[in-house]
Amino acid sequence: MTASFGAIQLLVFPGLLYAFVAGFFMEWLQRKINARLQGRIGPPFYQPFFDFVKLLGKKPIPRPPLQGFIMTALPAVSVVATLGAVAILPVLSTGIGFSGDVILLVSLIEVGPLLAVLGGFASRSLWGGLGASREAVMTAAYNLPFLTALIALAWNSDLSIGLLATTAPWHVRLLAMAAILLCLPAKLHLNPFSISSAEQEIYAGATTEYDGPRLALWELAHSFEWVALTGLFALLSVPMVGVADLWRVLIFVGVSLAVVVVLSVAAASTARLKLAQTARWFWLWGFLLALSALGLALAGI
Amino acid sequence: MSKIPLGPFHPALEEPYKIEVTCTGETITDAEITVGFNFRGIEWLAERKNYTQGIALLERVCGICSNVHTMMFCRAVESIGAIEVPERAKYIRVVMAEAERLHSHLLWAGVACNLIGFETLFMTCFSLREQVMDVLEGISGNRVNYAMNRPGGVNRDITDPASVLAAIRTIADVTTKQLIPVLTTDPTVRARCAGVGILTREDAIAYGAVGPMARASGIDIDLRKSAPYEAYDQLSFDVPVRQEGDVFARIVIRALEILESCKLIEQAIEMMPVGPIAGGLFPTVPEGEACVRIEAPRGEVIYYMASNGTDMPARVRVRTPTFANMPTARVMALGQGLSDLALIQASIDPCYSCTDR
Amino acid sequence: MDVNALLLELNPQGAYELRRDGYWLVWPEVDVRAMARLMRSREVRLATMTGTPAADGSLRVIYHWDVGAYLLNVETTATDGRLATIADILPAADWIEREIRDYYATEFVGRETTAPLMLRDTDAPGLFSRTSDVGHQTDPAETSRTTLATKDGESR
Repeated sequence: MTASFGAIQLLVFPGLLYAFVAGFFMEWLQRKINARLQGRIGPPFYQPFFDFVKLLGKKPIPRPPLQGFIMTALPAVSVVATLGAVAILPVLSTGIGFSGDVILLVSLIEVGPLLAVLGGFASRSLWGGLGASREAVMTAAYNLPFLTALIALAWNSDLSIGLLATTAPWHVRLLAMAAILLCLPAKLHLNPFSISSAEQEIYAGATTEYDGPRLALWELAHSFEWVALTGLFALLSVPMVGVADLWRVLIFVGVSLAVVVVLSVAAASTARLKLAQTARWFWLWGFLLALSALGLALAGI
Repeated sequence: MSKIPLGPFHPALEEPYKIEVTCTGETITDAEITVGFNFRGIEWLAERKNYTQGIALLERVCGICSNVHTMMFCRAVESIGAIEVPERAKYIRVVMAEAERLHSHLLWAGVACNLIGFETLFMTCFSLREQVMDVLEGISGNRVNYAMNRPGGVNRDITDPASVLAAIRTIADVTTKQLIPVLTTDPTVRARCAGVGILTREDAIAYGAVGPMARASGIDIDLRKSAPYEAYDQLSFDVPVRQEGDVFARIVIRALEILESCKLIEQAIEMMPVGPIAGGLFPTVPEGEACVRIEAPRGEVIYYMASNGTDMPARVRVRTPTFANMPTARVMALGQGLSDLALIQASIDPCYSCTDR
Repeated sequence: MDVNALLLELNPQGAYELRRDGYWLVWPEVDVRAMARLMRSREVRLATMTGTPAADGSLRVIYHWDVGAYLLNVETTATDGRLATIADILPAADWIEREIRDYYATEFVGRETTAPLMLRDTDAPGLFSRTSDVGHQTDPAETSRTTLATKDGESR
């Protein structure tokens, strides 16, 4: 991978430019589907972007210097880390990735929730703390099946995302992808697992005390999370060997948006579960699914 | 151990009140309820207004069951003065009361769905509620404070019964086909509500719980059956009762009551006799006292009225259902999770404007 | 529920009056705690209690019991502004007693604390009795704001 290709990947596709556009688009799509299913009209497509700009333009509440710095730095780092996760997605054949990029990707994706937990506690509010502790329990809950499913996929490859989809046998992939799909609503704070942002119980959870540009950064990181997670799902589910770049991009974007639609419909037709119920759900059914995928991969069936 | 306040202002509450819980982890170990944020001294004011003004004043006790309060005020006056209400007016009062029950229950179902994060169902409930409000507006000309009752009758006739029937049938249809199936069978709703916030039969009696709260705890009380007023003794309907006493039972009771109310409105409109809808001029209220009660959407409402023969009541006492039901929130919340608190308090269908008056 | 048996058990000599709205019994010397215990054991619900000032300035307190189709209204008087509490027997009475104290400064003897229900912690109890001669002016404009003040002069 040359430096110029690397720069394109980071700044244009699937990095900054794409993530920026696609992130807001996905958020809009989710809101629009939700609205249509509820018999509402829903927002115009530019609404998430306008929300972001409006937040950016607001003057934040003055805070003690250190707290203000921490409360700005945490979402900023979250944005950067999640953007990094999007940028190393090997969509184009020129940036096919490297051995071990799965591990880098997973750690970059996990930085977001971790910083959200820290951010909740750093805001020193009761609701922020409650949201943060819920987020922490949720992370522990959904990451068990999520990581197990990734390990099952990666068992026979050299830990490179580009090869994961091609090397794992189809039945392992089916089970593992189902487990990953189960985890996505929890990672994206969607129903029925929107526990850490249950506004009727704990206001906005970890981000309750964040305002203006600081909140805008969290929102941006969240929309990048959409792109990263749906993109990861797209890359893992469709094996793309010997496919032209244009098709690779179209399949990547198409599958990503299809995942958004599925998640949105599921979110609109469910109520919010409780924390303990969610943890049980993931540790039992999610983990069972992922574990059977791993078992099949280990046995080499 | 931490103390967590819910309210006085909180996204889960429609009105200001405060429930402060002591938690160990996420488990509630104690709860303290504070009301009075909406205290307007309506009982005090009612002693200083004449009867005509009193109707307008009492209508403003509650924004949802406003018709109940004027009906109660008028029934108290009728009871003291032994004033007869024409037959047609009785049926019109039943239609208004049941439409209001629909309004109240649908609004509550929407709020409950919102609290368990089920926004789609919330929207379904509120679009149905919108139709009920259109019905009420069609009959009375108003959407919130209907100004329908007066001592000795009602102020307006139902001139277009066909449109009321059509709307009620739509509501019954959507409730049967969409609302009740989703509310009773959706696994996420069941997971959130079944076994949560249990009020035992014994506690329900000791705390004096009324209405759907009591009926969900196995107490078969409904004044429309046990002490029929207006035209209820002429109409046939069922009173759903459940034994479980949990939030889920309250959801089921209210959902079934929506259907019963639709049934009642249909019957009342079809059986309504022709005739006058009110007596003559505003009657003089003799000296005396009366204690009347009816089944409001949230349960039994009691009015005590004393008259000293002047044009102003000597005392008006208003006991609303939430006043009786709210203290049970404490027993229901003990030992439950913090994430259930909002739902448990909402399962009472609390109305703090009513409670505080 | 056998209402007549209950009425007899409650007060064998009682002159119950059956009106349109229920049974009424004026019984100034009633032992409210014994009544509450009896009602609790018979699973009778306390519908509410009404405090209403009598002509001589004392407070009539009416206990409304739900005995099925009718209410049973037992009236007593709070002598010297004091009455025994029944909140420890029937928790339903807790809020009601607090509210009556808010309005008429009646002391319910036997309660550990009687926190205000409708008023704020710093308010003096007896809002209605304190302001009984206020606000009867026929001009609504005068009724609405003037002279309604608490003891410490804070306008309400």
